Amino acid sequence: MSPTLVVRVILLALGTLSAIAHWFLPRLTRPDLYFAVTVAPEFRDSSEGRFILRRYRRGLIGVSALTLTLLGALVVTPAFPLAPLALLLQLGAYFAVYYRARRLVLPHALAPTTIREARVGTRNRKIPGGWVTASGPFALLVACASYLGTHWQQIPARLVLHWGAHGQPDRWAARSLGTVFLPVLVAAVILLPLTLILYGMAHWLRPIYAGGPQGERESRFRRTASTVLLVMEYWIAVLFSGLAIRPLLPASLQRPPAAIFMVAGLIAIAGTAVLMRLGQGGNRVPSPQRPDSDSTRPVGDRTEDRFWKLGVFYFNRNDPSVMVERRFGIGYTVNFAHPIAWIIILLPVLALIAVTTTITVRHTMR
Amino acid sequence: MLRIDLASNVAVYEQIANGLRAELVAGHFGPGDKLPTVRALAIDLGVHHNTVAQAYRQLADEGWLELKRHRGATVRERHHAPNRSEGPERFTRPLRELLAKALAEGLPRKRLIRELMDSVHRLKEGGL
Repeated sequence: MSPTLVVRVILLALGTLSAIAHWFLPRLTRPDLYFAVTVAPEFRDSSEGRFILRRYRRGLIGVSALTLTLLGALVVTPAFPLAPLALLLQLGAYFAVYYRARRLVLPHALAPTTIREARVGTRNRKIPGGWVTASGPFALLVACASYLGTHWQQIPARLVLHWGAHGQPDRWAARSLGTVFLPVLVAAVILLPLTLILYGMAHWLRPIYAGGPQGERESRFRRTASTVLLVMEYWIAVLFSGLAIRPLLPASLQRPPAAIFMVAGLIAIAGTAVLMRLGQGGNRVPSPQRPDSDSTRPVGDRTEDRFWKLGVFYFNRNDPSVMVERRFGIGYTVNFAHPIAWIIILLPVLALIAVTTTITVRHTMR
Repeated sequence: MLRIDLASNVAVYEQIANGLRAELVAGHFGPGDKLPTVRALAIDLGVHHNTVAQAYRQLADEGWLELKRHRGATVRERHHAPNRSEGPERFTRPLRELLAKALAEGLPRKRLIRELMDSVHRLKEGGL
């Protein structure tokens, strides 16, 4: 399977899966949050709620037909490098459809609860497997870097950087600290914000339910999301370590199979599917038998609608939480009023710019 | 379970202190037990960390907690309350006012008596 074919398949898959996910999203959120608006739990099953959902899905079908057609047309032509733009266009169109539905829900908004709860006793909010597991990907990178360092003299003076469409090397670079350790460095930069998010899910995230069956479902969702993130981190460490030690492998094994880059996508898809099955915050997990004697049932997610800009971006200076549950979607988002949130967001962007600039400058100077 | 109401007339830090005190009086925490850190409890309750810190300081003044910088709050062994100039009237007067308010807002007298007797019963058994 050639790399370009892999890229085309990934792009098509992303577009299709995005359409499928957006179809189901309104029913995956908590019952008292509908298109990111706090409502009565029974609203989305009411005639008005169903009408809004039908309009949303009709809009979704329309924009999906247009954008997937465009995406498909680009992918099979030499213009496929423009396909990511089609994906962005698709996301923008979906946002417009969602926002139109949200505006229809807003007149039915309820004031969220002012009750806040917290467990004072033992808190079972840890990273799955603890810090030992969380540091595993970094340990792998350190081991890889050590291996490269101790076998420096065996690394060829000229390294293959790229293979052409016919599988022949067409780009090389001289052996240097930058070229040899670049994959390890890139992996570390990718893993840092992911680890921050992992830590944040354990310590910076406010639970909506402090206890009871709903609290347990919420904990299960959070643990599952953390596990998916950890698996992704390990795969990134394995992938980039493998790329880093390529020069030390026999020539026939140096070119990585194109399909290997699809594994990350498969992990993301499988993880998303599992979380969608659980529902946002675990709200689709069947209730255990024992009664919910420990918590009241608040309306909403204990955040106020006015702090959700466009229903998507949470900005609340008075909230110490760095992370909160998404209101439309699966998983979590950041409180953009918190400085750490910007570190989580900007770190990978800055890192990507730095790495891209470094590679470009080196390529230009060669 | 600590529960506060952001819309209540009672200051949030007082609600936090009252809730924690109830847990301590009920014996849910013993000497040496650690309470959540100020930051962790602030995140869980969605309030400023200064609010939680104020509650912890109040409980420390009452002799319930020992506060150490960067070490969090630890429950102290409390044999008796610190000396205070006011007597039991500090509590009986607000209690009478609370009962009057409950009656004024329509809570049936029999229900109120039942709740009070239930609390008395739990107190006698050493709980709350």
